[in-house]
Amino acid sequence: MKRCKPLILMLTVAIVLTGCWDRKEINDLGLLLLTALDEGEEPGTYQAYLQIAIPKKMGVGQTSGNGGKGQKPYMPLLIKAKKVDELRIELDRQLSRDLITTHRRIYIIGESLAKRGVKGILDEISRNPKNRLRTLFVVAKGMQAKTLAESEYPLEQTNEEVMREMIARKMQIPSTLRDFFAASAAPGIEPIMAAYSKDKNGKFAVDSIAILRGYKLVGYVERNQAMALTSLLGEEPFGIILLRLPDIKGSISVQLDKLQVKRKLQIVDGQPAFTCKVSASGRIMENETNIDLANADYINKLNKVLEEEITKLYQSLFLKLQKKYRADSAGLGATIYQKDTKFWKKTEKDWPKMYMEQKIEFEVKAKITHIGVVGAPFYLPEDEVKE
Amino acid sequence: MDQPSNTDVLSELNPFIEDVERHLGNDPDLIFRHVGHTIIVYISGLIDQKRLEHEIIEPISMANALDNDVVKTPDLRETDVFETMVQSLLSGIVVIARQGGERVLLANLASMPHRNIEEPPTETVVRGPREGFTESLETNVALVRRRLKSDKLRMKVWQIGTFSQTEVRLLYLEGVAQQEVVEEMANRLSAIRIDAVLESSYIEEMVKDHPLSLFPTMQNTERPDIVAGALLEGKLSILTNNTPFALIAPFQFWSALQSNEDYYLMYGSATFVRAVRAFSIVMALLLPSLYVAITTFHPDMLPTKLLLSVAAAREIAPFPAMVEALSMEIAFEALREAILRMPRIMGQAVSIVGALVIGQVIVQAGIVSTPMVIVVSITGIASFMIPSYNMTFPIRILRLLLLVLAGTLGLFGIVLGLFFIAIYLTGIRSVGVPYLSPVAPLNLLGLKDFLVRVPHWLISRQPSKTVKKNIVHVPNHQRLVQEPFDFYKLPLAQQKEMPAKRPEGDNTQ
Repeated sequence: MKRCKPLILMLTVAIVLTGCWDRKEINDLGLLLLTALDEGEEPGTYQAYLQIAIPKKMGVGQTSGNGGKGQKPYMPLLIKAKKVDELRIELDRQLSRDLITTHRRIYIIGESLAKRGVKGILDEISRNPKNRLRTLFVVAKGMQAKTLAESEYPLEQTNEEVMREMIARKMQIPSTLRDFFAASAAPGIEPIMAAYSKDKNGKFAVDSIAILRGYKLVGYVERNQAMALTSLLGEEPFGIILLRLPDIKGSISVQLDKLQVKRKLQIVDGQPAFTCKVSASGRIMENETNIDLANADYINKLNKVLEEEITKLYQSLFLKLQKKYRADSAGLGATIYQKDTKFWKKTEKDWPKMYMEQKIEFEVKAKITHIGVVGAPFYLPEDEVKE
Repeated sequence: MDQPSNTDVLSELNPFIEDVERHLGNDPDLIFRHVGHTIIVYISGLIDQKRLEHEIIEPISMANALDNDVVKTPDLRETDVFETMVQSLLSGIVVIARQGGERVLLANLASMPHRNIEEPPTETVVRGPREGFTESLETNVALVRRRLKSDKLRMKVWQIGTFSQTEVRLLYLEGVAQQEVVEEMANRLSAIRIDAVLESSYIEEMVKDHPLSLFPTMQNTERPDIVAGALLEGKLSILTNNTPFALIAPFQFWSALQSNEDYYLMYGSATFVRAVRAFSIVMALLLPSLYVAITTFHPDMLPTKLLLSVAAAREIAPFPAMVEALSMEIAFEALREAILRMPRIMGQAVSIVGALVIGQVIVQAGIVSTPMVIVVSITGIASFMIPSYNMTFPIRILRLLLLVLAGTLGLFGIVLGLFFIAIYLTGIRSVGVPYLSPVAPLNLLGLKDFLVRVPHWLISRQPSKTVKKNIVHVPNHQRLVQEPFDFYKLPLAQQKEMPAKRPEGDNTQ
């Protein structure tokens, strides 16, 4: 018992005096769902639009009762301040609960703010360990972030869920904070952000990638070019490619299942030479021509055309990235750094210039794996089908 | 022959009667009966009166002499020690004294009031023998003997308790149990000084390795098949008179995962059940504290949707989560105890009240949040999954301690608590065997019957920690070398299907 006494005393002290008393009841927490950050009215200031969950209206089991019709399951807040961290403290002043950001999954930047540069706001996000790195860091294309965040989307309870699911299931743009920080920290690659655009009917979609140079938005790559860029960043493709055979009317649509890029670097006479080996496969989703796809000759021809189309796609993407935006978003510099560090050290300073002129070869191998259930369109009479 | 008259006999035996009466008091159930030259002494409630008449009184009065041949009782002894005789009287033995004799005859006609063999209500099985121990030690030993017809089954006997003189037997299989362990247990049993032993738990507390420990280091069971199984594993069993509960030692922590039915089910099913049991023991110990720790300290760990629905339910809750959890746990324990102690007919009424009050009204009134009720009920069900009843207590007590730690320190507190529990458990021994073996210290052979129960034919030897010699359980791998056995190779099938031709390679004839 004598030996036990100091032990008990120490344990009591440890329990009572530690800083571990950060117990917070769940009903004292304000769950931040999304942040939409815009440029303020005065230049150099910020305006933040936030949505804070109202659990009672979101909770699954207890929706009956006071869940009034048309009421949103979140509380919107609009805060203006000169500095990013001032936004936080202003927000805390307005809020009856302790804000937790761990469940925020969307951080939207308005287009005008993105053009001004996102450098200033990154520190506040990266410094606080309670920010989850899987938060998507995205741009509202052609509008204010607040406009995007406020859009109607009745299918899901909140817009943050809509945006997250779109990126998770459709165009898988690596656009989380983790990806962003990793790209910022690595040499020879510029970070990118997913961009949401809104059509006239008020519905929004993720169809383009925002290209940043020096943390400033310089432009977008869209649709298939965006798909090509995601494939360069190692993600699954999401898009169709239209194929036309010579002398045949109409087009055939192929949805890509696989689009993988392997980069090869050779240094010839002090100049880097890139070869991108692309392997692609896809399935035919629509055939508006009169050819019978069961014929293997056509498939072989189509494979060739598909390879050409994919090559063209990559060439146009790099044309845009190199000449128009001058941003190494695909990370060619990073490839040099990884494969030949010494050479990278020498050329690092000249790289932005060299990048604009860099030539890239594409070796595409494409294969159509499925033609669907019917060869020719079923509505064609047999004599019109070209076998 | 010169026969003395009856009065002479009486007067000659008078000192003996007085001696007996002095020792036992002049109790009304102490009977002295004169038959011819002999006097028969017994305590009326403890013996079979019909047998007494038939086996002792009739033969003696017919032969008018006393002899070992005359008395028909099969269990017959002689003694000249007065104390032995008095003890025998108290355990239902009839004493027959003869005029002028120096020794008395002890005829065992004991017929204690007893219960029939029934299915043990505390350890029911779907598949397996339905016999359970009774309060009679003789019956219990017979039940074990019936399962182990071996000359290696040994017993040591003690009479423990100055007033109760309860018979206690230590059973073991010679050559299977380690002799040192048997001797250690025998020494502990011999050292017991107590006024009475009313139940085997008296013995358990006196011979336990860690008298103050919350954790049981001896198993108790009502089932003879469990005792037989334990003896085969080299364990010792202590049977106590007047209770159906036998003790088994050594007992390891992991036995809490094992039910005897595991050995009667197919090995795959048994392994599955054990996995479910292991999971539910973890649940029973940790679920409320995990809930409290995660919702009050680490809401970041929950998926957003789950957090929101928990938050929605907690919105109106008046008490902190820990208070809520503690009060619900205590209410649950109270309900459980109440149902156990109630007269059986009223149990249903109590459970209705409990389910209604705790399950519905409390939630509707907004005093306790729904997730907490779910957590407490899952914990309750999980704690009922633990097959050994005495193992539920440490888990239930530690659950409350961990809950307090979780409510003050969060996950850190839970880890701290588990850490100290683990340290404590590694230090416990049960008759010298580490409590956590075969896991700590690791014994790979023992793991064959741990979470996974491998088929009987793969267990070629018993867990070696308590075993002196490895005895073969089933010949090693007998199933793996078995010949393929095909219907079409049977002579009968060949006659019917193809009388002339036989498949090639046929060697059945």
